Amino acid sequence: MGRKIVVVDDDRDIRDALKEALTDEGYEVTVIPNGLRLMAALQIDRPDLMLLDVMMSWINGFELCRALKKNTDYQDIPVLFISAKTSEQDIQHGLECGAAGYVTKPFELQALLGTIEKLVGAPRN
Amino acid sequence: MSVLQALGYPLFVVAALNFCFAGLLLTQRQSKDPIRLPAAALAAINAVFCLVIAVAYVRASLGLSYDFFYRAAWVGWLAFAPFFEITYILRGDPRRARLARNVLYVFWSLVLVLCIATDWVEVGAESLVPFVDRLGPLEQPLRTIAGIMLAYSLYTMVRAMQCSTGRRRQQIAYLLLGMGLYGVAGLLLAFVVQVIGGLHFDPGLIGYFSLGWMALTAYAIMRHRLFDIRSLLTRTASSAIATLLLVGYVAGLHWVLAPVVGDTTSAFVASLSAGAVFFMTPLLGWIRRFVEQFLPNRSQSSRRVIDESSQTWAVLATVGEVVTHLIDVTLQSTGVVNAAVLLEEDGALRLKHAYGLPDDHCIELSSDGVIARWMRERGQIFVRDEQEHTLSREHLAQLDAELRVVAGEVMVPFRFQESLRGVLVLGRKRDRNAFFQSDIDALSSLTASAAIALANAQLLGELQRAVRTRDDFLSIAGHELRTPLTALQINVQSLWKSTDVSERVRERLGATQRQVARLERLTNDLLDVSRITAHHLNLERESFDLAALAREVVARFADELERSGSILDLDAEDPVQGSWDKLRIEQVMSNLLSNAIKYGTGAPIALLVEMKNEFARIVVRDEGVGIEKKDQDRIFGRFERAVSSNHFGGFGLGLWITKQVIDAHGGTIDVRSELGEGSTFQVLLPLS
Repeated sequence: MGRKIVVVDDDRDIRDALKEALTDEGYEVTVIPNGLRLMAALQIDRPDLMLLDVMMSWINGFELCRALKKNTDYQDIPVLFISAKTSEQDIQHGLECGAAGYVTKPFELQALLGTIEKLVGAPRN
Repeated sequence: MSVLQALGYPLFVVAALNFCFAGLLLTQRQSKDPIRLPAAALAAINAVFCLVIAVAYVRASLGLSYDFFYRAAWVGWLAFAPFFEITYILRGDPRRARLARNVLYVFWSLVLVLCIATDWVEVGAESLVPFVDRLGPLEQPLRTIAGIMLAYSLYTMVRAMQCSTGRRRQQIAYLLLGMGLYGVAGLLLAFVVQVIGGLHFDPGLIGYFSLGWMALTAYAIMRHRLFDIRSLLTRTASSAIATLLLVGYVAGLHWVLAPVVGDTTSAFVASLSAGAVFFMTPLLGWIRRFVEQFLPNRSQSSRRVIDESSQTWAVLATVGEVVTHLIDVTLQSTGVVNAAVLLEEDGALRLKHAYGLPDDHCIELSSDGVIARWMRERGQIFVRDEQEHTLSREHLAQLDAELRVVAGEVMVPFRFQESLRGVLVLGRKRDRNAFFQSDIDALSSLTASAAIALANAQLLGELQRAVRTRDDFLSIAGHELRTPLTALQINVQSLWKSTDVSERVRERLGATQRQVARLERLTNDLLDVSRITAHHLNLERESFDLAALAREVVARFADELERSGSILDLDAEDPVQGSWDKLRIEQVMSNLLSNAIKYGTGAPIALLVEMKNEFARIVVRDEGVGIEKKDQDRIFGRFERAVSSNHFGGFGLGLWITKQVIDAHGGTIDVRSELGEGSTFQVLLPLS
């Protein structure tokens, strides 16, 4: 069974592009436009990794991550930020929220895949 | 000396003083005070009156006929004309003032003519001391009329004083007191005593009382700025000195020449040359300046304060600083209790900073108010008391309402490039003195400096705002570009990875990827600019080998080098270990290399990395277009490039960012180049 990844990003093009790219690699990908939908999605299916954008409407990625880390059901799921906020403070802040990594946009696809593989292992067992 | 002489001679002095006084008042042309001319007329009439009486007494003492002069003393009553004129002016009724003056001059001139030409008014005095008068038929009625006029004018004067308000009232109090003294003396001596006929006393002797009037008027002038006492004194003293010198010169020259050329020729030559010496040389100016040195100069200390402050103007960067400094200097130099600066904003004058006013930030004078209009249209210094008589009653009321808001007595506009920038408002002085011409001059030069400083500060502020807007824009643009760039990159790269793509498409994808990478670099540059400008260039130092990094970077540039046709000669054999921000140093090398490739025109490129003393040295050399001497400093600036943007792309940010990164590491970068012969960039980095 493939590794499941949830992508939360309010930009549709990025969501779709990531879905295509990660699916091609063999991951099972769910895309979600914002934090509120994520909570609903988590109830249905538990992913192995969450890729979060930071600047989103309703609830931003940092707050979302902190909320997830407080929840005993989901706190063990690793979170990887993918953000256009690139300052050192932002990266520091993201890691303090409990994320396993922080990737700045734009990124080399190969580098992202490498990071994901480090966190959840190769796409197929 | 007889009693007649004792009474007569001092009156010459009083007459002379009155003449001087009249002359001085007449020469105060810059004063706009409406009572200047009538006051001068009053002094002149007094002078003539005293002179005539004095001559009468002296002639009497010598046993000569004094009848004409005794009769001519009725010239004194002409004083009613300016007396009433002043009174009505003070009551704020200039029309009636003119009327009263004209009627009274005509009336008392007729009386004077009657008095001299006929025996109807005055038959003549038999003796002055003891005083034995023979009454003419009209004398008693005319004295009665004069007495009533005098009493009425005194009454009107007191009323006028009650009507006037504030400082104006204080100012005229002295003047009125002096005139009152004189008037009451006249009323007693020339009317009450003569009409009731109890005491045998010559009414002409009231001439002595004009001294009191003069003294009090002079005091009023000094105490309050009716006229500039300083220039009065300077003129008097320098004229006196000049006269003495002139007389001495002529006498001396005559004494020398007379025995040689004879009296007539000598006098002619002496006078002529005296005229030439005094009026064709700057001698009079020297005398005046000489006299000025000895006069107490109130304005010298204020001038010093202003001069000392002049250096400061140039370094004031914000409007707030300029305004605060202006108020400080104003307070120090003029000694006023309160001062405020109002700046022009959308036509209205808005309070920016004040001292001694209630801390109310919404003080504002509307654009169609008296003050704003005056400042805009005339652009002159506005002194409340000077304008009292030039404005209509409604204007005056409106003006006073506006002045109360800012507690102002004097307003000094400051203009720059023909437009009103603001107004400096001054309250009353701590010593309650009025403003002198010297104050006004000092304030003019002060606000002239302030206007320039203000314009500079405003320009600087606008410039800073513009730069900030640009940096904000760069930051936003940089961030906004990232999102589509990310989507593009993921798509291109995942396509590139997929297996079912033909070789032709893969080639195109490669080109697309390169363009995406270039877009990414440009976006990063934009973000770097805004970040570095906002002082956010934090270094993350780690220990690494610079030579190894150089090899990595060169490897990454292999494709680009191949496309450009340049051959790279890398000299980075020995390890160069140090502690730097690896990503940033990589950025430096990439920038320098990509510039070398871009401007290298396919010629060989050399990259050298080595240890030199306590520094790591990176040298990038190309043999391309080169940089002109005049451009070599400029290229490290933001958005600068040595070549025209038509031929080479990019924002012109690479070298600026490079320099910022090197500066942050405490290193240096320099360039040696000749146009057409390539460029050599050398970076020196401290090892940690």
